[in-house]
Amino acid sequence: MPDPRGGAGDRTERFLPAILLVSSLLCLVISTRSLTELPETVGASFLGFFQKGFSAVGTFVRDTATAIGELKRLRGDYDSLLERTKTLDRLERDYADLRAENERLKEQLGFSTTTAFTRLPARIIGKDPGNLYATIMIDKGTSDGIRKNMPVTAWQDGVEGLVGRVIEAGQGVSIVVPLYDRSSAVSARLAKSRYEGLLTGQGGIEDSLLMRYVRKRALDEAQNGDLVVSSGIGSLYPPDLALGRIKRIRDLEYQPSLDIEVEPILDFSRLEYVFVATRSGPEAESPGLPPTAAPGGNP
Amino acid sequence: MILRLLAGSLVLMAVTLIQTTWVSAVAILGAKPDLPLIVLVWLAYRDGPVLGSSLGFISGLMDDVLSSAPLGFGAFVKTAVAWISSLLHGAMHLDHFLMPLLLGATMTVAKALASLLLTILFRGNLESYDFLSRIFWIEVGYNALVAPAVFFALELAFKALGRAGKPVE
Repeated sequence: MPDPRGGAGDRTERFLPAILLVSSLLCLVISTRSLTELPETVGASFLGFFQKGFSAVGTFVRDTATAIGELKRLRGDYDSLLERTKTLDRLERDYADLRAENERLKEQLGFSTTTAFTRLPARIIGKDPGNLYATIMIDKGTSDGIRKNMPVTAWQDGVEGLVGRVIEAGQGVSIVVPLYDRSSAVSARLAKSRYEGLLTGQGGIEDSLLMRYVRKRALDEAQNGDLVVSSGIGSLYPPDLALGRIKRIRDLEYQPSLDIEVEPILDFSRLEYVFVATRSGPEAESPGLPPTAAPGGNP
Repeated sequence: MILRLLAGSLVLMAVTLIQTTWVSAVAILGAKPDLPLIVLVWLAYRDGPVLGSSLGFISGLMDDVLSSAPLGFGAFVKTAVAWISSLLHGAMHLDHFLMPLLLGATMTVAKALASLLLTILFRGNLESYDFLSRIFWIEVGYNALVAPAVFFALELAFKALGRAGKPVE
């Protein structure tokens, strides 16, 4: 019943339903653990929409500024590439022969060429606002089939390396936590000797990664420059993805295991595009894996 | 009051988006300036504790949703920084260089102390600045150097909008 005199009572009545609705939603968010991430997801989706615009403007300005110098460089590249094309023609013929031979040998060994992952390309549109945490925002989200905990990779200098994993998936944007973030931990192994360890980030984009809990026995077989790959244990990341190369091995007497400093295989400051590894194939049904995605735009 | 809150929130949202998209390009050894923090300090100094703290809370929430930090972490840190900045409202004269420089540096330290307090309260489940790290001191220096220019630009912009110098009652 509205207050006939109007004023405060009337205002309270007018806003009471809205207050009660908001209170109910808050109760729902707190009591339902599955909805505890709802505010962050909605917030990320909303801000991500504008972030795409800002990113596009920045890219346009940067590209225009660099276009002139780029043209000159491209002309030089064009001439040298013509030369290289001739050489590559010859190499291509050799390659076709080798590939056919390789296929035949693989068939004999019974290897499968099908992969358990489909790679969905995404562009990096933003990075963490502060220096304390490290996150990367990409322009693909749940509408593209991306789900939380999906691994993210990137190609750089001809090598595919692990970037990190999706920690939040909004409607059209997702937040990725990179390997160098302090909260990141990847089950890793030395590619050559197959010793296992846990690779963690140290926070800074310029910092090395740290591989811990490696058996001391590995000291005889590991050396600087050796490749470190994902082990695939835990099924969050695919096995044998390049993570980095050994930079320094620390063998402290009071520790039961080795600490290995690892130089990331990817230069994170140069990353522009990444691939989200959405699951496909028979492994997608394995227990412990993130839900199978239905990507909207596979490469 | 509401209009000022709305205007301040929109400014902070725009600066946060600039921070996440463009500012990484000017990072020095992995450390970038915290533009939203500097803008927040200026707004809080200008508008006093009520509006300043509200803007700090909003700015912190925006940081949280764009970061891997848990929701509330940035909100607490920035509310605290905005509140400290707003205490200086009317207590000192803001010149064009020295005070902005000092505010830029001290408020970055205040931000680090607030995050440290949260780390202690939540028993190490959160990240806090390492006061001996290179990144922290580069950010302090960077924010100090950038603050005079940002303060000056904000002053000009708000004067142009005819809003500068109107204290909140």
